[in-house]
Amino acid sequence: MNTASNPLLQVEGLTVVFGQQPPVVCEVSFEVMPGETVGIVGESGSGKTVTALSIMRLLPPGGRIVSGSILFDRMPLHQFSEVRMRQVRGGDISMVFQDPFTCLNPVMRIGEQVAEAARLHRDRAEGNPYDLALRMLRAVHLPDPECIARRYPHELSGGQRQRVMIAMAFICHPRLLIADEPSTALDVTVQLQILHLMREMQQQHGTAVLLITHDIGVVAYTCDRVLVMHEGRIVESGSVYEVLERPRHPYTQRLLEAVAQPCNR
Amino acid sequence: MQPLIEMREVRVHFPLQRGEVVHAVDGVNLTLTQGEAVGLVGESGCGKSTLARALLRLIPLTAGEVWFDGKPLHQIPEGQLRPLRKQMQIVFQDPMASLNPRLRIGHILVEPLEVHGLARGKQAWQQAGELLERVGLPSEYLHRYPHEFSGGQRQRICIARAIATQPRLLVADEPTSALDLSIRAQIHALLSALQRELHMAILFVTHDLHAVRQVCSRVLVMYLGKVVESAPVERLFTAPAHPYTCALLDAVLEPKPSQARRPRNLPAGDVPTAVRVPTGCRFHTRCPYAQQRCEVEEPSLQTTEAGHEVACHYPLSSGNTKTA
Repeated sequence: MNTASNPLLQVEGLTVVFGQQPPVVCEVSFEVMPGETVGIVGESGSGKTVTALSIMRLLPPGGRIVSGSILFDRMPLHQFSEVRMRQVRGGDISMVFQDPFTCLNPVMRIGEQVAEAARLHRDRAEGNPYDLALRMLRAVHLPDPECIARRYPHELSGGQRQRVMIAMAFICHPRLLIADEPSTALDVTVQLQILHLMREMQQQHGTAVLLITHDIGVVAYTCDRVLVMHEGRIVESGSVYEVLERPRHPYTQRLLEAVAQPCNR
Repeated sequence: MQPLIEMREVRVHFPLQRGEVVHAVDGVNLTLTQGEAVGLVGESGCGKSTLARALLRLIPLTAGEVWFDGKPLHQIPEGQLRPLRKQMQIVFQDPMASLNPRLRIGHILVEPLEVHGLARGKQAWQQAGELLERVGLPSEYLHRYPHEFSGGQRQRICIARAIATQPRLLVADEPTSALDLSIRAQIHALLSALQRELHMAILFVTHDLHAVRQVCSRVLVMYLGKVVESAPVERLFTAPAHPYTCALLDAVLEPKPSQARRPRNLPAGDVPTAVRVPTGCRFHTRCPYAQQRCEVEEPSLQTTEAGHEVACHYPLSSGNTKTA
């Protein structure tokens, strides 16, 4: 096991290109400590999602890592075979995406889908996967888990679907959760519920979170540290207090000006 | 003064199979005066876009009336609408989907001028150039195609096309939701400037409260097909009276950690479906302050003070925002 002083995730000089285009992610380096929440903030096209997908080795066709290293608990993920990566994904590292609907299998009942993750990554001795799934659905505060488990994704609301995604993500006690815009597709009043749930689950499982978002408010609300990405590079990083209260980079300053406080109650 | 727009008890229902009905808009009154910018906010599915489209008669009303400058829009036959169409225009959320990819910008802008007989040929082309400059783009862009522009520039082109006929009403349906943060403020500023210069009324439909504050002077909050609160912008932000409005304001997270507020009472669960609308107050299933009366009796919009209306049996009073 890791000692607290060693980073859980260590990305060093990561550069990603698509075809012959200039790099989409360029010389990106950062660390995530165990249990920590780190935000990556930037506008669309800044390379934040590609950075996350590189860690999971899920780059879309045409994309490849040309240099840099990705160490997870000192294991070189960038050198792993596809077979070994499959053990990591959904096991040690799991992911929650923006749109829960496109991430769930539309023709499979909810309970089966959540149980599938447990079946793949957890020891049978820990219990029947389906029972584990029901326990997880209860843990994410879904009303009447037995009933939800028998339903199909289209029968749930957006907020309920995202709760299911979170149940799936945490069922194997991941050490790192990568959350890509987890609350963006939801209604604003549901958004906060989901952020609270993620924090609750994170604390229960001691999981570190890499949160990717364009919403600075979400970063300020949930993260310990933040990396600001612009045109494929990290332009500023530090604790949320340092970066969001006293931004030094002109780009960060511009971003913050664009979201001047709408509320002053 | 006669209002420019008056909507009375407007309902828009969409039938589904098995006799079920989506109550998208369920009895809304809305007035817009000449040159006024009004915001219409609410979460997805609350009926705000449907209401905006019903206002322009882009979709038929199930019940109710829409008066435009004293004319009964709901009664005018389709064929006779065109002269009125000139006076009311719309800008949509996705600028790429609303620009024909095969037409040069010039043609896109000349079309409304020719359709409404405002200009033709060389003169129309020259006016199109002026329109582009008016929205902050150089007139040389007339010869380009939509794909050559960024999202923000495309939205400027859509705005130029909408103001080509010098409308008295502009409906902006989530015009900046698809744009990057740093571009949004520029488009909001452009809309505000045009509203003042052309003295046109704007109905600004959005879920972005920040945007409303930049553009509008009055705002209506919708929930499940009904208006639950209506107030001057500053009043709504400083003294919201409906628990739902409060929840919406609380959901806006501050960008500075030192100003982060603990949201007080989060509404529970999700927005119910508009097919089976809850009884009584539509918000009672999620409202942290709901009492028995809310489950049975539907509250109507009541004026609390000048220009501030709220549909709630137990409105929150200013300064005394309840904490549970």
